Amino acid sequence: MIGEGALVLFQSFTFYLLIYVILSLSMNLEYGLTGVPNLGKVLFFFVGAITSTVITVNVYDSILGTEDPLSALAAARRTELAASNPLLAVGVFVLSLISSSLVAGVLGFVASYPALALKGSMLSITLLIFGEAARVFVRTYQPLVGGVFGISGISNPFVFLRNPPLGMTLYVALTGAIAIFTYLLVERLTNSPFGRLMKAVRDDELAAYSLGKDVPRVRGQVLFIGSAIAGAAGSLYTFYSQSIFPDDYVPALTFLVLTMTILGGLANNVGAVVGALVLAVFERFSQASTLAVFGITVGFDISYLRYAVMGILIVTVLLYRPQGLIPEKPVKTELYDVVAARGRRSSRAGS
Amino acid sequence: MIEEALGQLPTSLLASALYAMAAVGLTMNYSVTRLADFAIGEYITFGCYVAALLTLSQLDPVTSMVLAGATGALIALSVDELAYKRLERRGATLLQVFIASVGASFTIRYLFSIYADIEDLLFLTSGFSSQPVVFLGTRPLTNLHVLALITLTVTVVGLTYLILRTKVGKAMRAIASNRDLAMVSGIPVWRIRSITRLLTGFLAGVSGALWAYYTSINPESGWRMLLWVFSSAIIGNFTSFPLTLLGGFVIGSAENLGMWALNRAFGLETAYKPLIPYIAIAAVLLYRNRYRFTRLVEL
Amino acid sequence: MLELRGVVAGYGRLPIITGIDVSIRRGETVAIIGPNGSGKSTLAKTVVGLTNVFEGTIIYDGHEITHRPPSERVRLGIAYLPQTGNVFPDMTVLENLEMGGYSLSRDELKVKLQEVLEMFPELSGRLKQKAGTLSGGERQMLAMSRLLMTSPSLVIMDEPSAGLAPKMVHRIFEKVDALRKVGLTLLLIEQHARMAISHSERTLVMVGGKVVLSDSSDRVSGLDLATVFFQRA
Repeated sequence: MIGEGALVLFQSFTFYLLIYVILSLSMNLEYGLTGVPNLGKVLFFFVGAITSTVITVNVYDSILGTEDPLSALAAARRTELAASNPLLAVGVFVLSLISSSLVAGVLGFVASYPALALKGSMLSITLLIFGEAARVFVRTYQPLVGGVFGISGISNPFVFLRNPPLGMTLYVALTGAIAIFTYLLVERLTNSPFGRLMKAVRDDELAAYSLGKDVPRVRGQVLFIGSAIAGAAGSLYTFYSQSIFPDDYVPALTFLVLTMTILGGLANNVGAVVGALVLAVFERFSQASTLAVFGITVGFDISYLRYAVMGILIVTVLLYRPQGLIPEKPVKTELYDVVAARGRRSSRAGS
Repeated sequence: MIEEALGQLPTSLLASALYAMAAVGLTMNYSVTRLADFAIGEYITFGCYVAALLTLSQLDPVTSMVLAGATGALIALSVDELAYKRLERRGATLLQVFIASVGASFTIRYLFSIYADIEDLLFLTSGFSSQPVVFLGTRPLTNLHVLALITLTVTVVGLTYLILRTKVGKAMRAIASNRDLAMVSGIPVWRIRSITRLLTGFLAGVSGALWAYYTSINPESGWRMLLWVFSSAIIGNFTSFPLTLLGGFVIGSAENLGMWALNRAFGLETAYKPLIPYIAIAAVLLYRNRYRFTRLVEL
Repeated sequence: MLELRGVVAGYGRLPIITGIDVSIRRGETVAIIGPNGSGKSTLAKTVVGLTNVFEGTIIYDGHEITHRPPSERVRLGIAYLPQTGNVFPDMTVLENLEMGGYSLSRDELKVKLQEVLEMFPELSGRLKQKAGTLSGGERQMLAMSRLLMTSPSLVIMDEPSAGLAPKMVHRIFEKVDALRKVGLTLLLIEQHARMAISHSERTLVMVGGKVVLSDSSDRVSGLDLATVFFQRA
């Protein structure tokens, strides 16, 4: 029994860590590489979750002919259908995952449109405002995902095994594979010509313009990619929690991810992962329920302390170690090696 | 029908005045420091609490409001001294300072939340009692509305005088227009910046005080107002004072007057009320010409 | 009165001027010439405190000012005319001059204003006009008169004649001569090299972030400048 509890704890920690890694990588792409701190990150995560919910619930309910999708009975029937029909469950999951990233990506591009020509802080504030607007809307507009009470019965694709611990382990492993894929994708992008373009937009917008680069479009493209990644994370999170609650998607999550990126080191994908790891440990182990296991209680809501520490981390890192735990590396290209080698040679000749 | 619309007016005006005042402070701060200070919500929160606690201990509302402003001013200045100025002196980019202001905002808000939780102040109602002065339609215009409008008028007149006529105000404009030139002209840029911070914090604190007189408060009150304040300032491009004032009124009226109008015209449920200002800000952003924007809003 | 010893300075972490040793005597007018990108403007900005100094020291009037902020240097008597953006366009001519004399009292300001307007009579009729609506030449005049509001003893001008019509260039140099006459020490950075040499006592030639030649203007005027500019390239 204890073994099972530990497994659940381990699974949940690993899963959250993986989601944070994915989100942190996408934030790093936007903020670290392109200089757009996307304070609306949670919006795109949320959009992914909504898309997956809508697809899953609609597919199952149209097969089942459910009248009231929000009821507990409907949720149970959806789960039962998924359990008895593995092909359908996997199909719905894959469809949801892909649609979620597409919808979030397109929305990332569109949401940034009015603000595309905005820079830095203005753009990020606008995205933050849009994120809150979306949450307020979804929690009010019941037909979408059940309003403030949300909706449940969104089973993960391994429910047919009828062995929840095993199913969950497999699901976490799948999420891990997607996280690794994301890392490789982002790393590849960083070292591509587009990666250099992103850094150019970040470091010297005017120079990028004067080289004929369409700077707002680059920002839009990066927001597309970053948001698509966040949308996929949102989808994964929905199938993990098997439900959606609009009030889970508050700006605090964005700030947590932002802190990870800054702590780890901007414009550095390894840094983003390290930052996510450090803060995931901190975030998971500073929950009241976790602390209670160790017999620790405090006279106030522990989440306040968590947020305060995030704020203190942001300010201290920027003040005393702006490059983060792992500093930015030069872009890896074949040409870079040649130039660097020549630089070393000429400096030796010079001295 | 007209009476009903009129009835929406007092609350709209009150909200508008609050947003406008804080947003003007934010715009002023931005002009001089190039920083869209995220922590302004926290200066508002402290204004809320100081005013609420002072009025609860029987101090009169106007003095309490001024003291709330003073508290906001002190905090705004301290944050600048402890974090922002240091960052700039270490060569941080404007974007880094902005992110630091997000961090500062979290630090202050949640350290205060811990304190408020321990002291049992997470939910607080001020000692201000609002009395109707006149009736507009069915709704009363209270002494709070009058106080807010007078405060806003004094603020607008005072700031206009300050910026157009006084040496400090001119120096602020000079710094806003060209910081390097201001420095080599011998304008004490850092001192003017401190004065600006004090003013920004003061305005935020005062609008927090009025908020506390209007409704119950909690450590996140300022954060809730922050989005509206930023929206107002975005409408004003973070550069224009008249437009920022207008922004405050657009956002402030959208929630009440706008909701009422949409409810009347399209039968929109009042549950969507919090959404209306978002629509207003999105509309304003969409309406703007992108390229004109590029020039006006730097960073 | 001004001495730079082994100064390495630039923007961010990037050095532009690399090891400058210069010493300027009181009352002297020194022209600084050189090809584009040779670090002339950076040198000027370094003296007034708008760059990062990585190495070396700057001494002005016996004060070590290497890391002092610009406003303090202005108080010590250094005035600087930037190449671009040298007036506040949204402010009136009068307000621009007031900003120049920020540290003065009301009475001192009046006296100073009178004095400056005597030297630049062309501005007298335009005090209420916004600086942004002035012509290029008038703007330069305003910028120069703003400099004088601080009662400086060292005036650094970064290309005061840039982008002006030939007639206006002559007017500007007339004003430069007027400044020399009242005994100011002048550092004059110029693209119009010949013009600058003929209106100065000494000339420094900068190439690639270093001073490659420093001699009396009479002697420099006899040299073939193209050879001097590109000998090191």
